Amino acid sequence: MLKTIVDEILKGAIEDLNMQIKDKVEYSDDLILNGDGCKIDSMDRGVIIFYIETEIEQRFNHSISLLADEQFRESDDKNPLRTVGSLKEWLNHRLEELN
Amino acid sequence: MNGELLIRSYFPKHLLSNEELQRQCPDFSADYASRKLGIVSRYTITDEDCLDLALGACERLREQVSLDDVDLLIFVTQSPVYPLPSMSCILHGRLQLKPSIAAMDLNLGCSGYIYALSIAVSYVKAGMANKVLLVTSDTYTKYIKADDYNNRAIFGDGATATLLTSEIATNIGPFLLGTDGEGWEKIIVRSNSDDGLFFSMDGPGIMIYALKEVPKLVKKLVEKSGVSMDEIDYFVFHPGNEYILKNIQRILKIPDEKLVINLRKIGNTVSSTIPIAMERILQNDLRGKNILLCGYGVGLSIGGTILRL
Repeated sequence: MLKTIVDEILKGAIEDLNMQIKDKVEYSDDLILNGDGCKIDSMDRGVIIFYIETEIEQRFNHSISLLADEQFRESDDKNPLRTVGSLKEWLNHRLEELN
Repeated sequence: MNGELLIRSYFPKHLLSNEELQRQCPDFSADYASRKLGIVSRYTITDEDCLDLALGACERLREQVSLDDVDLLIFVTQSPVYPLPSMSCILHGRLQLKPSIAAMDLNLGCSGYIYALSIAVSYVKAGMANKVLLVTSDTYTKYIKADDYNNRAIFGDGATATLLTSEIATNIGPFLLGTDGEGWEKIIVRSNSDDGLFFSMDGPGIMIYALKEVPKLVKKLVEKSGVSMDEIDYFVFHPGNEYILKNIQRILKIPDEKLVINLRKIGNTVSSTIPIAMERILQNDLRGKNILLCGYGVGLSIGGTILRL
């Protein structure tokens, strides 16, 4: 159930981003959000994170700040924001802890 | 009434275009800066400093109105020429204002104009001032390293001078002000032995702060003031950049014709963005109009108010 909701949130975040950018990106676990091979910029990441944090607050009543977590300052491969798949995994784990 | 709210801006001589930045750094995209940031050029200081710009704005104001009876001078800056004395005291001397005047500096950036307005209005309402000269002047480009093209694309230098009379002050408010001290490192000027002073900004962090906090503040401000969102005629936000502004517009469902965007030629001028935009719209007949102002950024700090002209 939690995994489905997290998937919905991330899908929504990418759809929301696509409404604002010229070169659309396709939602998949492999979509790169940060680092080598990434096709979106730091402001696009800002839009995605804002969407995710807002949705989590509305759906779970938890206020979280992704960028405040030290893991989000790690280099590419260790950063949860590397791909949709890694972000999904991090969110599932974090929300399980909080719930 | 709007004749009484006088604002004049002033810029350095040098206009730095996106094309010039691209010549300096082939990795920099002039198209990206124009399309996404909404900025095609910005003024940058060469031999000028924040006092020169402030004086230029005040002299432009003085062409319209006497400053002889000003009794409060507020100087908003985060790029002073000297750590001390206050820039307001030096400007007081350069303008040769009367001695019986209160002069103070305010160390705030993008929210600084709103905070300064709140002080000005409070002084007027408390009977401690009748005419306030509110100056903003920032030269952030002196802190930005030559190879920091991302921030060089965003920031420009500039100054404004606003003359606020007691009549107009009664039509400003309420105010909502806020601070998030945990975000103090998101925009910062540090120093080290190699670079001296240098500027850094967590762009996504600032963007998320703006997208969360500006809509909240606007809704609370509108509620507190007793007007509806529909009754606001103009929204003048500190822009940050156009992408942030467009996202705030989207969240708050603000019609295009009500959103004032004024950064294409001048970039993000920090404390001066709001009064520069105001100077432009004051060219229209604004009698009876409600104008919502909101600034946010370095601190982190946020402030908003409503003007009824």
